[in-house]
Amino acid sequence: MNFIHNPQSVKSSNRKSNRGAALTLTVLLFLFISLAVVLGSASPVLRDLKNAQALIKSKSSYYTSEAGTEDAFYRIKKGKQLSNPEVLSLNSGTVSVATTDVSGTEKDIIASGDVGTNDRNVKLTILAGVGADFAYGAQVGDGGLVMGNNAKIKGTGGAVGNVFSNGPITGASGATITGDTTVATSLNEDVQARSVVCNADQLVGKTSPQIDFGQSFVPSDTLPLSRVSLYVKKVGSPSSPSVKITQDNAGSPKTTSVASATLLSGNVTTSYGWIDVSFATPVNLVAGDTYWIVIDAGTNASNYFVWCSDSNNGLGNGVGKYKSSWSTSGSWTQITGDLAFKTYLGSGTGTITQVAVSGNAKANTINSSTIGGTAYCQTGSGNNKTCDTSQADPSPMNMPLSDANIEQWRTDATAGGTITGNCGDSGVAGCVISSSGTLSLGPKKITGNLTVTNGRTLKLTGVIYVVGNISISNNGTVRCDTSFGADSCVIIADGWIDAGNNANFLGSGTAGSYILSVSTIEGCNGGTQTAGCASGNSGANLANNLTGAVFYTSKSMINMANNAELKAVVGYKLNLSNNTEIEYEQGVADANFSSGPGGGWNVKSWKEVQ
Amino acid sequence: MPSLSSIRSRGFTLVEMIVYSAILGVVAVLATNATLAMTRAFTDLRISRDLNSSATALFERITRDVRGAYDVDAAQSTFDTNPGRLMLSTKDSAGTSTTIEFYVTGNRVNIREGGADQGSIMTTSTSVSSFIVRQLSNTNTKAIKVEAIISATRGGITKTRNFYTTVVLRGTY
Repeated sequence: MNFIHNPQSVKSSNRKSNRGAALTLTVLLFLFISLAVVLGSASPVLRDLKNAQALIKSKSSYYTSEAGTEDAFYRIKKGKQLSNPEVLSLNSGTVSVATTDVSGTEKDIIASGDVGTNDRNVKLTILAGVGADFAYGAQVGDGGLVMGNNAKIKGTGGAVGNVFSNGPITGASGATITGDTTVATSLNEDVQARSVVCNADQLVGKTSPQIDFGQSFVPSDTLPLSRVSLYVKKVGSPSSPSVKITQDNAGSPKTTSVASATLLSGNVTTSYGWIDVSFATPVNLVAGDTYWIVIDAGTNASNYFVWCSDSNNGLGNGVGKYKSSWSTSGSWTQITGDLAFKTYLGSGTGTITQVAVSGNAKANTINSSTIGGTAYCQTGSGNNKTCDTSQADPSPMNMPLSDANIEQWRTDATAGGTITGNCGDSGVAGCVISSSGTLSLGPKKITGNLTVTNGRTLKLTGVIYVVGNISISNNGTVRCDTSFGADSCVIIADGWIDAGNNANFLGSGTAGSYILSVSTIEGCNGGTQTAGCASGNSGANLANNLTGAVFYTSKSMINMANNAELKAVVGYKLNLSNNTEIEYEQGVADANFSSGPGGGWNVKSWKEVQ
Repeated sequence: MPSLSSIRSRGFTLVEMIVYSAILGVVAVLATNATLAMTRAFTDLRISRDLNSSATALFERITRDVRGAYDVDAAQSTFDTNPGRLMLSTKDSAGTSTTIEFYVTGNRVNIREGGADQGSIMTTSTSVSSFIVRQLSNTNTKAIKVEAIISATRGGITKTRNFYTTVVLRGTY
C-alpha cells in the first residue's frame, strides 16, 4: 500500500513528468519536421547548383574552343606565326588548337577546350579563297598618305573608314579620318651596310681639299633608306652640314643627290658618338647597287668635324673618299680605311601630322592632331590628347594582293586571247565601242591602250589585262557583267589608270560586287610630272565624280582629285587633294574574285564535334 | 472510501481541460500549417527545377543545332507566331546534308531529324504554352531567336516562366 500511503506526492510527480513529456514531444515533432524540410529542399538545391556549375563549365569550355579557333584562323589569314598544336590558357581553362592540312588549299582547325574536365571541341574548315582582304578604307604602303584640306576618309552606313599606312600620314586643315588610324614603324639596321671600327681621324672641312667626305655602301635589301648614323665628333663649333645620299658614278659619288638631310652640329660633341641623320623623304635603294653617304661641309680651320675611319678597309664593298666640293666635276681622292657609318632601311618611324582622327590613332609620333579615341604614341606634340605609351609601335603590313596574284590574273586574261592594238573609243576591229554603245569583253589581253569615254560602256566578262594605259572619262563606264553576281571583277594595266570626270567604275549590280582596278606601273610617285605617268605624276589619277571602285597600285602613287568617291583604295602612296572623300564600304573587306589566286583564307564550314 | 473520492475530486477541472485543448489546438494548427507551407515550398522548388531542367534541355539542344546549321528553310518554318516551327538545313557528322526540325505537338516541343520523329525534348512534367521562332538576317549572317513560355504543374500548383535565346548560324559563311 505504499503507493497510496502518500497519494498526493505520487500524483504531483506524475503530473510533473507528464508536462515535461508533452513539451519534449512537441519540440521533437517540430525538430523532425524542420529536419525533413531542410534535408528535403537542400538536396534538390545542391543538385541544381551542381547542374548549373556543370552547365557554366561546359559553356566556358565551348567559348574557350571558339576563342582557340578564332585565334588560329586569324593567324593563318594574316600570315602570322602559329604553333601546332597551339595551347592557350583562358581564365581557368585551356584550349589546344591543332591545325591540319587537308590539301594545299584546305585546312582543318580543331580546338579542344577544357574547363574543369568539361571538354567541348570545335572544328573549323577553311579554304584558300579567291578573295582579297581589303580591310581598310585606305591601305597605304611605304610612300605614305598625304591629305589636303578637308580631305576625308569615312565609311558608309555607320561604318567607319579605317586607315593603315606603312609610311607617314600628313594631313592639313580639316583632314579627317573617321575610323582608326595606324601608321607602322619599320626601321631596321642593314648590318651588311655598315662600318663600325674606329682607328683614325678624318678631319672634315679643316683644310682643302679634305672638305666633303663620302663613304660608299651596298644595301642588302630593296627598301627605303630612312636613316644613316655617323660616328663623328667636332672641334670648335662648326655649322651644321648636309648629309647627301648619291648614286655611284664610276666608283665615286654622283654630283646630284637622291636624298638630303642635315647633320645637326648641336647633337655632336667633342668626343666620338653615333649621330643619327634621318631623311624626311626616305629614298628607295635597290639591293646590290652602290650608293654614297656624303657630308657636304664648309671650310674652317678651327671649327670642323672629325669622322672616324678604320685603318684597313674592313668593309668589303665600300670605300671612303674626299673632294673639295662634291657637287662639282672632278675626281675624288680615296682614303685608307672606311668611314664609320650605319644604315637603317624601312620607311622610318610612323608619324601622323595634322589629322582629325575620330577613332584611335596609333603611330610612333603624333603631332598637331585631334584624336577622338586614344592616342597610342611614343612622342607627340600639339595634340588634344597626351600619348598613351602602353603599346609598341605597329609593324608594317603587307599589301592585300601579292605580285603572284597579279601575275595569275595576267595569265588568266591572256588565256582568253590577245587583242593586238587599242580598245574602246577608237579600238581595232573587234574591240571598238560605238558611240553610246556597249562592248562585252574578257578574259582578254589588250596590247595597246584602253579608252572609254562619252557614254560608252565596257562590260567585263572576265579579267582584262591592258599592257598600255587605261583612260575612262565623261560618263564612260567600265563594269562587271551581271553574271559575276556577288563576285568582283578585275582590270589590270601595266601602264597608268586615268579616271577623268564622271567616270563610272561599277560592280555587277549585286551587293558585294566591285571592280578592282590595278595599275602595276612603277615610280610614279608625285612631284614633277614625268612622261609615262598619269596626271599628278601618279600611277592612278582619279578625278571628279568618280563612283564605286577599288583601286590598287602596288608601286606608285594614287592621286585623288575633288569629289572622287571610292569604295577602298590601296596604294604605295596616296595623295588626297582638297575636299576628296573615300567612302569605305564594309563589304569590300571580303571581296571575292571569280578568277585568280586567293588573297586570303575563308571559312568553308564550322562544326561542334565530339 | 474517502481517499478515492478525494482523488477523483482532484481530476482535471473544466477550465484546465479547456486550456489544454486550446493549447493543443493551437499547437496542432501551427504544426499542420508549417508542414503544409513546407510541402508547398518544396513542391514549388521541384516545379522550378522541372521548369529549369526542361528549358535547359530544350534551349541547349536548339542552340547547338542552330549553330551547326548552314541555312534555315524559311518555306518549311513558321516564324513570328505561336506555335512556331523551325526547319534547319544542316550536315550530320558524316558531312551529308540533312534537316532538323523543331515543332510543337501535344504542348511539347518535339524534334525531327532527317524527317524521322525523335520525340519530345522537354520533360513530361512541363508543357509549352507558347513557342515562337524569329529569324534575323543580313546579307552575310542569319540568326534565330527562340521564345518559349513553359509551364509545369505539380500537386495543383502551376508555374509559368518565359525563356529566350538568340543564336547565330555558324555552319555557313
